[in-house]
Amino acid sequence: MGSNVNIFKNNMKYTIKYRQKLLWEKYLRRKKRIKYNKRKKNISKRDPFNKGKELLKDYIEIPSQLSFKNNWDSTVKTLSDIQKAIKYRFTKIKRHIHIDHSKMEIISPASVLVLASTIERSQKQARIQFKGVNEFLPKNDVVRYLLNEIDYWKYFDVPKLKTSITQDRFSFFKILDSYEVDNTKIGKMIEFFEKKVGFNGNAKSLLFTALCEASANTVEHGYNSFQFNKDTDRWWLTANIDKKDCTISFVFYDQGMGIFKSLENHRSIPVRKLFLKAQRLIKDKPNAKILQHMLRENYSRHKIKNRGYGMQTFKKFIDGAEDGLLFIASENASYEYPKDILREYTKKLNGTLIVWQIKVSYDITSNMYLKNGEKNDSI
Amino acid sequence: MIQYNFVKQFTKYPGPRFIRLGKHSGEEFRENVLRPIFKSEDIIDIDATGVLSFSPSFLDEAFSPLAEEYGLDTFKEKIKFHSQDDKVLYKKMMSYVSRYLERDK
Repeated sequence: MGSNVNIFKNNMKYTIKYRQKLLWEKYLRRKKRIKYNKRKKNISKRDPFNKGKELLKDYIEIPSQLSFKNNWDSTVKTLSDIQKAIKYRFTKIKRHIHIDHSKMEIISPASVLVLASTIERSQKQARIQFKGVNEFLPKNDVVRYLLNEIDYWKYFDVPKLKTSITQDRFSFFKILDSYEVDNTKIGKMIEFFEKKVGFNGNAKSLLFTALCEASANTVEHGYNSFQFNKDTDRWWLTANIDKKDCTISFVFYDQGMGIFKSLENHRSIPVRKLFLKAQRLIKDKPNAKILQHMLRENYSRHKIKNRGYGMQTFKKFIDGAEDGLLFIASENASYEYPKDILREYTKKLNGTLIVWQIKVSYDITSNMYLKNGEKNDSI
Repeated sequence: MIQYNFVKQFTKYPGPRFIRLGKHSGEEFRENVLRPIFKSEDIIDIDATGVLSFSPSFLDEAFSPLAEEYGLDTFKEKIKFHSQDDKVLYKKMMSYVSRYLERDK
């Protein structure tokens, strides 16, 4: 009798153990499934190319018109596609992507700089080498010339392309870039253009101050200082004279967090509060209006310590030239001075773009000088 | 009196406010050039002829903290600052200094 009880007890023990084992396995399977689903969901969130048909996308076509003023959405979308494709495909999926330049017909100097800097930064981040393919090179002469001038093809290991355009029309300066405020580079570039255009003393000095303040703003606020990388967290600057349209443009670009994100994450709580309050209270185009106010007045927490005047020096050069155009674009907003044009877009630009453009006049003796007149679009 | 040629002895292209932001900064000029003058009996005469331009940040950071530290009268006695290209350079610098000194008032 006693032995029967013991057998029964042992059986029960095994049954319970067996059931416990089954339950434990079921629990583990469930846990694994939840983990797998969560991971799958996160991957598709992180990588937009993993969503539906986008998975097959390995070809990016640069649109016929790359211009921030006339074709913002598709310009910004193309740039962001290139960044995402390079970042995700080469670091995670390791597949080839093709950037097709063949449809390009119009490209503004500002877009040339942003495109080149986007390629450069993405290339450095992903540590890859591009290769040029003939069928994807641009067919338009002006586009070929502008990209040649800025040394764009070095990123694709392609020699300069043949073009029928000579230096008669454009005088294009190479890209300057740095991770710090490098006033010697900026000063030498201004002196290079001074010989060609003939700035008066005051305009030269105002331009120098504006460019230096722009680079100082980028270095101080543009990038995340905790994860700063000298190779990729930089500013880019270029300038060009278009002799046909009689304009000189200086284009400054950084791929940082943008003005609004920087204000949102500002160290000073009053600045953050002021920014969020302004964004909440201004109903129509809040970000563009914030840009407009920042150019007009000093809203910095440093007001009393002589700080926060950077943005205002940008417009002083335009005011000094009497006839000019200042275009500031950051994230999803842009502001044009002195026309006072505010714009907000659906697509967000990565970083901040600033363009100073003034009208110059060209005479037969090939001397250019500052002059009032109509402005064209180089943005 | 120490004669200081800004272009030859420092730079033609003055830099940003702080040393951490880049070369030839206002902070660098203050600490390496101006502060030793204040510690000695000397007077400095800075000739900024030929400089491309001074940014407000550079002028403010280079001069204002010393005016606050040593007093405005001593500051004016110790520093002579001029340029043949920009006749109002001294006035400009002093306007930044006085704005800085008003901070605590």
